[in-house]
Formats: sequence, structure tokens, C-alpha cells
Amino acid sequence: MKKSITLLLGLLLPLIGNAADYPERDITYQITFSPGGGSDIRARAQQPMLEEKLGVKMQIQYKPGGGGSLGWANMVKQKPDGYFMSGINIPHIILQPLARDNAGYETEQIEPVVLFQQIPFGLTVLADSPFQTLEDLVAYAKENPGAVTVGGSGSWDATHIAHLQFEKLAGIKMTYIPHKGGKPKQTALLGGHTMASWFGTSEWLPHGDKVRNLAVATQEPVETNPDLPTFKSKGYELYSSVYHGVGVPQGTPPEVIGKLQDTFVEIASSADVRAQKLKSGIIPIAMPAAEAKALINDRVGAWAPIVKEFAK
Amino acid sequence: MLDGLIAGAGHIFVPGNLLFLFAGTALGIVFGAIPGLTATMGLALLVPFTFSMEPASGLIMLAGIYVGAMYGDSVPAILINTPGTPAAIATTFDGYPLAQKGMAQHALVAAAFASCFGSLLAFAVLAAAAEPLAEMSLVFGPAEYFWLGIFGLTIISVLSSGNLIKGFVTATIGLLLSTVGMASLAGDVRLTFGFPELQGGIGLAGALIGFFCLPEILSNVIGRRRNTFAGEQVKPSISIITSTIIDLIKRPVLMARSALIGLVVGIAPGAGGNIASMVSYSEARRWEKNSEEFGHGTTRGVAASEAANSAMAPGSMIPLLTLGIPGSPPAAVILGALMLHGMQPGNDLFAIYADVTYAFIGALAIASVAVLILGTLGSFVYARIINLPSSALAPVILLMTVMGSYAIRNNMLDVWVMLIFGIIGFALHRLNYQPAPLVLGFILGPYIENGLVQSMMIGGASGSVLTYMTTRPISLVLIALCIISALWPLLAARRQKKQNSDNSDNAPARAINTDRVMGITMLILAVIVFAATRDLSRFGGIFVHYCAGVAAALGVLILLKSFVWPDLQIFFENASECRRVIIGIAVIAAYLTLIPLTGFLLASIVFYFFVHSMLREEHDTLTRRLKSGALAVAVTVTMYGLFHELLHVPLPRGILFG
Repeated sequence: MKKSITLLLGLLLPLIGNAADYPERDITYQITFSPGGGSDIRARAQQPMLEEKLGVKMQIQYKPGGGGSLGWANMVKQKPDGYFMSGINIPHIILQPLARDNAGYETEQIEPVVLFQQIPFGLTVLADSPFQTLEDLVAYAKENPGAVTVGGSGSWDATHIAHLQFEKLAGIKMTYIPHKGGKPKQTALLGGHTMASWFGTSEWLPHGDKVRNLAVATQEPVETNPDLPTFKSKGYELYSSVYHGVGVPQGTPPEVIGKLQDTFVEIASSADVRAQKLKSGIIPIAMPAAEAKALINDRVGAWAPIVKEFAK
Repeated sequence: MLDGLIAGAGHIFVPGNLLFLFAGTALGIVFGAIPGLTATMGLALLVPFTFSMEPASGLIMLAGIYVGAMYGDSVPAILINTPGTPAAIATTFDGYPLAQKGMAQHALVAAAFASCFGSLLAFAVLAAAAEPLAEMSLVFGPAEYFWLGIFGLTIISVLSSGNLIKGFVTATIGLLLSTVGMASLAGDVRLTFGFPELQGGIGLAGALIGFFCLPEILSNVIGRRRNTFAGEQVKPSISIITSTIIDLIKRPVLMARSALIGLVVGIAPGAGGNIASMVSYSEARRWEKNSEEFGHGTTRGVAASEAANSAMAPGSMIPLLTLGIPGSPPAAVILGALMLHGMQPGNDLFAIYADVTYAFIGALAIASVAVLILGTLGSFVYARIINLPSSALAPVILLMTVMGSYAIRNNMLDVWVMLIFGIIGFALHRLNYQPAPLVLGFILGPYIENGLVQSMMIGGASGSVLTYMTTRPISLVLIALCIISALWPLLAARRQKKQNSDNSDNAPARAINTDRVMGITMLILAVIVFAATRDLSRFGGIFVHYCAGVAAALGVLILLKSFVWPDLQIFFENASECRRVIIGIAVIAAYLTLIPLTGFLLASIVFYFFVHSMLREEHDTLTRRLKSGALAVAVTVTMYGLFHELLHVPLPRGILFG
């Protein structure tokens, strides 16, 4: 009995020891976009809380380019010891390796730690648009194939995939206009340069009464706008969101991931952080590593055929 | 409105907040002035600190950084010909020649005063008419951006070369460089030639430093062995400050015109800000008396550029505060900070948070006064920097060029690109071609490409691309402006009957026919680009192919010209200059090779010591060698501390020492 306890302790101690010791030095928090972007601001907001809870400094480091792919390619090359983590975006980390043969990393090389927020997409028009409802838009597009211009944030990103899926589900043809990110997309709709646009929940909020959202691509009505119809309620099985979180290189010890995950989940679950996100139109979540991994695997399966079908 | 401003002033004129404002402005000047640091980085770094502050204090400090950086970028533009941001390119046109004449302080003071004036005027407009101006910024669609970009290229080509064709040649090279990497709309990966790091495109900092700073060092310090960086020593004095400012006050038309141009052109988010100062400079040269002084060092040129780019700074706040659309990358950080403090742009900002919002707007104005104070006082210090012997200064600047091009994206390839651009820039200079259109082509390329591609998509959906691109009112105005700008030099030449300097007479035997070299280069470039981009998607390839076609056409054109009107230039003055430049390039290349092996710190100390010793004319003694060594260690360690410890830039550690 005594022997087996010592044996058990002997087996467990190194694990406990590792988890208890981590972190012992500064952690690098990589941002895969430019300084000052959404990912950066998010990380800077978490920085003081992470430092307080983990007791070490967060060194924020930038590796922008290629829509984030340069940064993720850089992360999967780092030592998997928990001292290098990076902001991750879904669907980016799934779609880039699918759509490009030289993205520099594979999705499974990134181990998710946590997903802390979700921004669902919806189809948005200007307040004075003749499209009062989603039905109006679909009917017009049916009669005038290709005439409706719909803005999105880029090529082979969440909005582009949502657009292609919706065209297929509704049996219509519209013209997708990619933009260089979310801000130019918003300007284009507000200026009347596009007729409709795929806006995230946080994107239409600042524009108040100037825009009207026709439907949102979630299972249930969204927390930020509970009255908004979903595509599902209109008969289209369309679900599209961007998720933000943090990941580490494949092979990072599970107890280190666990420690980071618990810290992030605690921060993401605090009432202040949740309230602040909701106010900006962002759905606060605190999805732990295992769930995040399941979500990623599920999306890989769902999107691979779409990308294969449409990308040359 | 007035009530709001008064309430806002209540937040600003508190000793603590005034201190934050001045500290922010000073920090902004530093971030703007050091190549490789940007206003955006400075703001992003400060955002976490603002959490622990009152929202008003935090935003006041951010306003200071923003306005400070807008002035700061003129300091390296004047002293070492390196614009801190694209907005300061036009500042180099007269700022650097002034510094060369020993009038660096004149230029610095003119820049500070014009910056202050520009932002105050813009502030007044912002306070009076924020809403309608914001609506105006929305009118710019894809077609307008396309023409705005073409207008920018036309102006710069005429401005810098006085010759549209020559300017277009280098501008086209710049456009082609801008297509390297991932196409921002179509997503195709183009022209990376097997370097995955190039997927993110070519870095702006590397291009600015490579084309503006390195050629000067290669040419003057390394090639011609000038002992000081400027041709003349600077003797700063208070009377320079007063006379410079009084001189500018006597030119209200110049100042007001420049600021208004900055405000109007700067309203188009993105592209506008990059060309506002160029348009203003060009107009100043067109309408001012004694316009031949422009480009050879006149404070009027510096003022025209700086008044415009500073007026643009509050201008980009208009769409931000009213619509939540940031007009520039630093404005995007401020948007993020506002949202983190729970303030949503739009009506909320002026209703619920009016006092904080107006405190921020007011802070922009007060910060511009802080710029005037700090800028004129600071001119005593930094004007003297270029009095240092170049043996000490040149290695520091070279270190900064390396750090500056590395730090933005933490990427060694960017540094190599910077060196290659430096060599190209040097060669272009000697071939009598200017690098400014190239850099502007590089900057405006994405706007022109996106404008073209989106116009084709939207025009395609509506029936006719050509109608969509040419019949909208602002497009028509821009097209007219392009034509006028392109034809103006011809008209002016006809009126003035300017004597045409002909270099072809009694040119020495070793002179080269510059247009022939460039013509052949352009044709080779076009062939390479066509060969490497054959399998792109329709929208990913169209702009690259247009540019390559233009490059080929321009190549043929100047090749023909080279036979009819040859432009002969001497590339190297003598064999020893040639040798020195080649050795200089080799030493820098050796340094870049050494960095990944021994780490940044050791490689830089060795490099500094080597360059410092190489450039010193005096006979080597032990004490001198020790002095060089001490300087090398001190300078390198300081810079290492700033970038690595303070800013967390992951400098290479070196594989030899783990």
C-alpha cells in the first residue's frame, strides 16, 4: 500500500510540479496582425489581467502579414513549452491551409487554448434600401442574377464562405465584392457603393439607425440583438461566425494548456469583461480547449468541400 | 458645441492631465522621429496604461502621442532625408536641402510652426462641421480611389522629375513592387519567388529607409567621404526661431492653402493622407513667387508639406468620431481605445460621453501647441545631431536603418530588402531618376489595384465597367486634375521658355546613357513579371499585368528617347569612389549575414566598430581604437535596450551562442 502511494506520488509529482511551476518566466503573446488592430487591442486589454493572475509579464510581439498566416507559421515553429502563445482566429486558421497550398502551417499544428469571443455575421443593408426583409433581397436576386452587389471582408474568409453558402442554399446568384478588411467594407456600404454587406454583430452596432440587418447566421437569436431573425428561422441552414482565442504550438504539455485555459476562462467569464463585450456587439464566450478543438474539427469537415468546389 | 468644448476644457486644464498631454506629445515626437517606430506602435503600447487612468486622461495622452508623431516624422525627413511616414515624403524635398545648407534649425522650426498651424486650422473646421465632412468621406468609392491614386502618381512624377515619363517609369516600378505578396482582394500569392516571408508583401519601413536614407549614406558618407553629414555646420539660435516664424506668418495664403488642401484631401481615408502633403507642396510650388527655390531648400516648401499633413491628422478623426471609421492606422488604435473604455463612436460619443469626447478633441488642439513649444525647443538639440562627425553618426544611422526595417514585422528578410532597395535607390539617383515616385507608387499601388478590381466587379454587376469608372462626379474632377497636372509642366515650359540643360555636350567617355539602361531594365522587369504571374486568377492578375504592360511600353519609349535625346550621366566620379561604395555595401551585407549567427548585439558592436574605424581619417592609435570600441558598445547597447527590453522586439539571439 505504502509502496503504491509513493509510486503514485512519484508519477504524479512531476506533473503537479510542472503545472505548479508554470509559468516561471515571461510569456510571449504573439499578435498575427498589425499593431493597433482588433487582435492587438484585445490582447492589450487582457494583458494587465493575465499578468496579475499568472504573475509574469506578457510580452506582446507582432508578426503581421498574409492575413495572419505568417504569424501562425511562425508559432508552429516555436518550442511547445507554453512560453509562446498566439492569438488565433477561426475561420482563418482553418481556411488558409485549405485555400492556399503554401500557408506555412497546418490547422492541426495549432493547439487551441481557449476561445473567448464570437462575432456572428449577418446580411446588412442601408436603412433606405428597398430590401426590407431577407425575402425581398432573395426575390430581387432571383429575377436579376448577378445584379446585387454584396460586400465582404476578403477572399476565402468567413464572409466569403457565408456568401457562397447562402447563394447555394437560396439558389441565387449575386456579385461578391471583397474588401481589404472590415472597415473598408463598412465604408463601402455606408457610401452606397455596395447594395448589401456581410456585417458582424459588432460592425453594425456603431452605425445605429443608418443600417438594417436582415438576418443573422446563428442557431439561436443573438444575445446582442434578440429580436433579429436568424437565417435558420427563414429556412436557410446558414451559420457563420468569427471566433477569437489563443493557441499554442502542437505538443505543448496538457497541464500547461490547462493552466492557460483556466486563466483565460476566468478572465473571459468576469462580469465586467462580459458586459463590455456585449456593449460592443461581441458575444462573450469562454470556450475551453477541448470544446474549441471539437469546433475546429467540425468546421474543417464542413468547409473543405466548399473551398474545393469554388477555388479553381 | 461650445458648451461641449468648455466642458472638455475642464478636463484638459487640470495640472495632471496637462502633464499627460505634454508627456504624450513628447513621446509621440520620439516615436515619429525614430525610423522603425510609428505613431501606431506608440499608441498601441500606451493603450494598456490608459486603463488605469480616467478615460479623459487616457484619451488626452493618446491625442498627444498622435499629434506629436505627426510632427516627429519630419525630424528624420529633414536631418537624414528619411521620412518617418509616407506623409513626410514631401518634407524631404526642401527639408533635407535646408539641412545640407546648415539650416536644419530653420527647417525644424518651420515644420513645428506649420504643423501647429495646420492642426489648429483643421481643429477649427472639425469643431464646426464634423458631420457633413464625415458624410463627404463616404462618397469615395472604388472608382474614386483609383483616380485619386493615379492623380497622386501624376503629381509626384511631375514634381520630382519635372518629366512625366521619367516619373512614370519609377512609379511603375513602385506599383509592381506593391503587388508582391498576397493580393489583398483576390487572395492570390504573387511574385514571392519562393520566400514565404514575402507573402505579407514588402515592408513600408524598409522601402522608405532603403530608398531615402541609405542612398544618401552610400553616396555622401561612404562614397565621397564627407566628414559631416550636412554640408555646413548648424549654429542654432533663438533668432533663427523668431525669424523663421515671422517669415511664415507673413505668408498667410501659403499656410492657409496648405492646411486646407491637407484637410480636404485627407478626408479620403487612407490614400488621401498619403498624398495630401504632396498635393499641397505641388500647389505651393505652382503658385508661390520664386518657385525655382523649391527643391533647393526653402522653409516655404517644408511649411507647405507639414501644414498639410498635420491638418490631415484631426481630419482623420472626423469619420472616426462620427461614423466609427478610422481614417488612418493610428486612428484605428484610438477607436480601439475608445471602445475599450466603453465608448461607442457615433451618436453616443457626442451625447452620453460628450465631455470626454470634447476633451479629446480639445486635446488635439492643445497638443499642437505643445508640438510648437517642444519642437522649437527641441530644434536646438536635434539640429546639432548632424554636426557630429559622420564617422560617429553614419554607423548609428546604419544601425537604425537595420533596426527600423526589422522592428515593424520582426523579419530579417525585410532588412535585406531594405539593403537591396538602398542599392537600387543609389543607382537610380546616379542615373538621374528620382526615387520619390517609386515609393509613392509602392504606397498607392494597393489603393489603385483595389479600386480597379472592385470597379470591375461592381461595374460588371451594373452593366458597364467603363461607365462606372468615368462618369461619377468626383471621378470626373479627379480625371481632369490628372490631365491638368500632367500638362502643366508643358504649359509652364512654353510660357517661360526655360533653357534646356543639355548634358550630352562634351560628356566624358565613361558617362552612361541613363535612359538606355532604364529602358532595358524596364523591359526585363516586364518579362520577369509576366513569366512569374501567368497562372493567377482573373482579379488577382489583372493589375499586375496592366502594370507590366505599362512597364514594357515605357521601356520602349525611353529606349527610343535614348537614341534621339541621350541623357548622359557619370555613375561614379572616380575609381576610388566606386571601390568605396562597393566595399560599403559589402560591409553592410556581411553585417546582415552575421546577425543571425552571433545575434544582434555582438554583430552590431563589431559592425559599429568597423565602420567607425573605416570612416575615421586620422591615423589609428590605441586610444582612438579604444574610443571607437567604447562608442560601439555604448550605442549598440542603448539601442538594444530600447528595442529589445522596452519595446519587446524579438531581436535575433544568434545560433552560435544558443
